[in-house]
Amino acid sequence: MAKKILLVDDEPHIITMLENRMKHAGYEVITAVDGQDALMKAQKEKPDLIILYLMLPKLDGFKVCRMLKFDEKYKHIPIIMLTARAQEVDKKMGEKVGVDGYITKPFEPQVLLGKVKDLLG
Amino acid sequence: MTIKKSKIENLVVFIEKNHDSIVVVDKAGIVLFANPAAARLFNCERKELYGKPFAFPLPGDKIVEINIPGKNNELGIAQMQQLPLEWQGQRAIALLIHDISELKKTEMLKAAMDERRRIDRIKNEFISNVSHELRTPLTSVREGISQILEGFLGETTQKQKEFLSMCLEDIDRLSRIIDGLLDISRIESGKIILKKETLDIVDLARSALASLAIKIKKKGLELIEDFPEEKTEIYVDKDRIIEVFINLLGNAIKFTDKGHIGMSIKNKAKMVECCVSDTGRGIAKKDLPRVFSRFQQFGRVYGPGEKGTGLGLSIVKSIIELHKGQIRVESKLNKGTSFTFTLFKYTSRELFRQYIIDGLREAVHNDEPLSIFAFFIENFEAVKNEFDSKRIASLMNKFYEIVGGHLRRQADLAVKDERTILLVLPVTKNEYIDSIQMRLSQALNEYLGKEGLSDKIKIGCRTTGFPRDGSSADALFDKIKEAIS
Repeated sequence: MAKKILLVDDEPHIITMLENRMKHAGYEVITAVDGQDALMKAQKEKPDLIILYLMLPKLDGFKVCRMLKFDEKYKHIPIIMLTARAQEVDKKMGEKVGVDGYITKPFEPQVLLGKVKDLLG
Repeated sequence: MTIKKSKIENLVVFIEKNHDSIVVVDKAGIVLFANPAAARLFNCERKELYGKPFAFPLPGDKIVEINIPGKNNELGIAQMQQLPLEWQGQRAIALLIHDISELKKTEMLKAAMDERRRIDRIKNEFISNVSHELRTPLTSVREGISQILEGFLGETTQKQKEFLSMCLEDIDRLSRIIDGLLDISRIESGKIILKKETLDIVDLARSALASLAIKIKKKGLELIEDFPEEKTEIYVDKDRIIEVFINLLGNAIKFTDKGHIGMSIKNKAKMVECCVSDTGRGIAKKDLPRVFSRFQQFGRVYGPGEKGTGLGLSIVKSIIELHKGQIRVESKLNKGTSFTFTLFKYTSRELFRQYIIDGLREAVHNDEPLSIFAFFIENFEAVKNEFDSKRIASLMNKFYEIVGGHLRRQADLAVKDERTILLVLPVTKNEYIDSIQMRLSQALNEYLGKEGLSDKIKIGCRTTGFPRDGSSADALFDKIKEAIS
């Protein structure tokens, strides 16, 4: 069965393109456009991996990550944080909330796919 | 009576020698008296002022600011106030004029500097925000083009693929420019904290060379290395200095079609001098002053290959200056170019101090504690008489190993000179200082016992910690200074 990826970004263009990219790579894709939506879908759909943009409306990526990683039921789901900032502070924050990987925009598709594959084992 | 006389004399001195101008005018504003300072102020003999109307309207009860002739034909500013008095039997007015030009000038300079700092901050925030905003649209453009190229959306012709590849190349270049701009703005706004360690600079040079060796070979260029044989230790940020080497080497390769690339490191008394040279196209004399400025590209390379961002040398210069080093360029058109930078070598005392400063800055920045230990040979003079320097060095190495063996994290730092080992442990709570000191001293003494040196070598230890002993590097350094020669 195809692995399920939850894709979260508030930019519709990026959602469209990444969805297409992931489907081509053989994954099942569900999407969310803000932090609350992401949290709800993560809990309901139990994806195998989440690609999470940092600067989301309603709940930012760190908060979403924190809430999932501190919940026994969901903490096993790997989370790749997608960010437009590659600053140290963010990485530190990410470590604290349990982010599994980082990708900086604009990303090389192969790098993203590689990371997804690694984390899905 | 003599007392009264001396009082008047004092008063005369007070008026005649006063740096402030004192002018007395009658009710109509005609000058009755002026002291020497007033004459100097109006640049004339005091007699010339007498009997003429005073140049300024009377201030009344307020202190007013007036424009006065200043130095170098500039306009000066003075404060003026009036006092009523009796002058030779009639009512008159004394005017006190206090020159505040210098004060105003300092104030204005300070305001200008504050303003400049404010503008710099706004500029750097602006660059940081803009860069951030540019990345998102750039991502979908890049991803869209990639997917068309990869055929996700149907077949593309060879010509279409070619054009799309060019787009992709330039998107990547744009993204490098954004990275570079961000980098510069962070360096300039002081947001970058160098992660300095003591390293052999030759290793850094070699690691930069390793990543570019293929390019040098591909262009058929010869590589001439001139590195010192001895260890050339220097206290720098590893990644940043490798970045400098890669940048300089990259440029040298790019602008050189035949001949050689030279890379030399000279270990001098107080500094290390690194030079990257080439036999390439060179830079015209008129362009040399601008090589380190942003977006100045001379003799651009045409044809295929990675295009520059115009930011590389500007970043190189910033990094070297952040390390308190210097960089210079020499070039002759069609003969070649050489970039030389120097990095300061610390004495062990300066180095220890720098470790403390850097550790402390990081600790304050992260709001975490910092613990520092200095283990040293207490009877160093006696030890020097008893053992040769080789034996002492090997003992110190052993001590270093023992102390270093207790480092747990990568962020922990240990550094040594001929008699002292400094151990900087970030995040370690100050409460643990005593127990760590005891454990390590015990380990060192056990070793000495095993070697039968217990009565020959005395190991001492001084400790300090932030915030326990203060929050300035000086305060911490002071606590352990006995341990440092």
